[in-house]
Amino acid sequence: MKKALAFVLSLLLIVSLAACGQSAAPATESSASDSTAAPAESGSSETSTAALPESITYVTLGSTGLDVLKQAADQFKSETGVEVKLEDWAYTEAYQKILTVAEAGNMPDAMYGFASWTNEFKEAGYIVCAEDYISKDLYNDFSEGARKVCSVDGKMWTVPSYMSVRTVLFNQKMLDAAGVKVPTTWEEFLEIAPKLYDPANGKYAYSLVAGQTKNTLDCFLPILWAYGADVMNADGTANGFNNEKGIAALQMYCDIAKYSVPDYGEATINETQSNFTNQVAAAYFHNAQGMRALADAGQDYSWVTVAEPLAGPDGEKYSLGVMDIDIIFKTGNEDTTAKFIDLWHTADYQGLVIEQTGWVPNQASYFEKRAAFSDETNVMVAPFCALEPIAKFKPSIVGWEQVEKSMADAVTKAVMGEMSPADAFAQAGSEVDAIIAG
Amino acid sequence: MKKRKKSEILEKSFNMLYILPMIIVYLVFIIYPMGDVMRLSFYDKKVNGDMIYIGLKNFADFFADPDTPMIFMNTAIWVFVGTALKLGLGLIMALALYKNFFGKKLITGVMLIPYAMPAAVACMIWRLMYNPMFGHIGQFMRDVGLTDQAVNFLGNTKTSLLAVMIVNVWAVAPFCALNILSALYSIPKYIYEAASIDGANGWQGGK
Repeated sequence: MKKALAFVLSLLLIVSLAACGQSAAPATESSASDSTAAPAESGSSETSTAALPESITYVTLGSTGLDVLKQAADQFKSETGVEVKLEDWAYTEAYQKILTVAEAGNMPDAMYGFASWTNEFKEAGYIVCAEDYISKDLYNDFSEGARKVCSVDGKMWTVPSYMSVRTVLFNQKMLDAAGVKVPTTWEEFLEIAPKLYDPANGKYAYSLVAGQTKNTLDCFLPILWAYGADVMNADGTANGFNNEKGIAALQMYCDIAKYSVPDYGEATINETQSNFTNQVAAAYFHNAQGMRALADAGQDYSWVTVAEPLAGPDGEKYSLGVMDIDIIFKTGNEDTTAKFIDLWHTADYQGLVIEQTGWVPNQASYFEKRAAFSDETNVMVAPFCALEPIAKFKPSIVGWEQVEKSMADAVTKAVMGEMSPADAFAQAGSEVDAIIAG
Repeated sequence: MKKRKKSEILEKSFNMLYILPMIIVYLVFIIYPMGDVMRLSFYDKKVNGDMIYIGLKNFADFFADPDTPMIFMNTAIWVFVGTALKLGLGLIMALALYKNFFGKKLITGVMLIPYAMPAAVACMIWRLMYNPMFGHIGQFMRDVGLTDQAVNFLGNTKTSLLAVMIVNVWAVAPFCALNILSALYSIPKYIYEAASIDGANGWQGGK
């Protein structure tokens, strides 16, 4: 009896394992034909009702705009009969997760991602050229700068989405109490930092990140650029930071870290925001999200001064542009997905999310239709929009994630005192050169 | 004779069925992935999906990386020092619990809390305790004069390994204590009695 039972169980296990393997293999077909109808042919401008899929999948990150996405999905279903399945992934796992599902041929139809992925995903063949699928009205609605960030070889491969412009924000109360003015250069800031540093009373001059990979560069790159260095050299063939200017920028970052909130080894950008809104740090580098958080909590934020980015020794200054994107994957449902993207990128939906979160609009129609964006007295938008012309973005290159890690590790080691800035950048420079060389 | 051999073979074949499911799971979920990873380690995968055979280059790059010695050092410290601390602390706890004393059951329960606590909860509590600005550990060290600065225990490369090891030892030592204690209870009492009659002291008795 026992033997017979064991035999039956073994057979069941073998059959179930075989079934698992089979259901994973033709994933491309199953995701594209997630419906009874055949998927629309790519490039076709009109699709009949019979060619529409039953559903498409859109992935957002960190629950961004999820409530408003649900409304847009409901409207899309009522207009087209196509259900939009929404998924919510964490920011930190998004890159590895999308690579994993893409390799398995199980991609969503569209997702919210980062502009630095554009070139890599295009080279990998995961995505279609968004410009060929979205409407001309939407294409023309984007700012020139936004289109450029999402373009490869002159074509817009991904759709510009949420954009933020980051600069230095100061706690005017803490500056006034210390008897100092808002600085205009990083050198000036370092000079006044000791006056803002009072660890015995839990007060610090700055809050930065020097541990978490992505956010470390969010805080460091504006200083690197202000000092006249960059991630890559002018022709993109080698690193642009292992030089006198780059090392000087890293030294400045290390010097500022001495007066910063000491959680920088494990903090993310959210902790720097908390340090600032809780008035522990006198300054930090970010967008209007902190003010938005205070406003939503009904707290006063009039003590926040949005300053221009601090300049380097030669007077150069840059704000950090952060461009998120919507990506249309090659799943066979590109036409339908593009129609949803067209609906989503309207003032009533995505424009609302941008207004709620304190980001900067990059579509002309948003400025026309949402009063908050055109109000010059709106401190959540106007000063950041004014900094867009001097915004610089992270490069979209193949292997950017490895480049980012190399540079962030170098910054971490230098700030922690493990290596000198020169040695740290020498090591990172050779790693990045190898990555760029392929 | 032949009939008996045939029936023995049949018997053994059926017996194999008992472990066949485990063998299949082991092959599919452990051996195959390990083998595939080993195979992939000899290739360089490009963004466009091309797999280029590069031999031992990945291994050469790993050993040439200036961070590699530190990786090995940290791993050795975690494995050897960490294990020694867990076993040592577990032994001390087990020996303490082996004796009978007032409140033994209560103390036993308290000592087992780290082992029973879910890892995620333990991590959150320790993370708060290690917070450089308002954590208990940093505040205690400042109050007793060990330091006058806020120390970022988890975000500082000088202290992070020790900080995480302390948490790991705290969580695992009770498990070691339980195992050692059950082994101690399995030793018959007459062995200790015989040893004490022969003149063995506490340390000799323990050995």
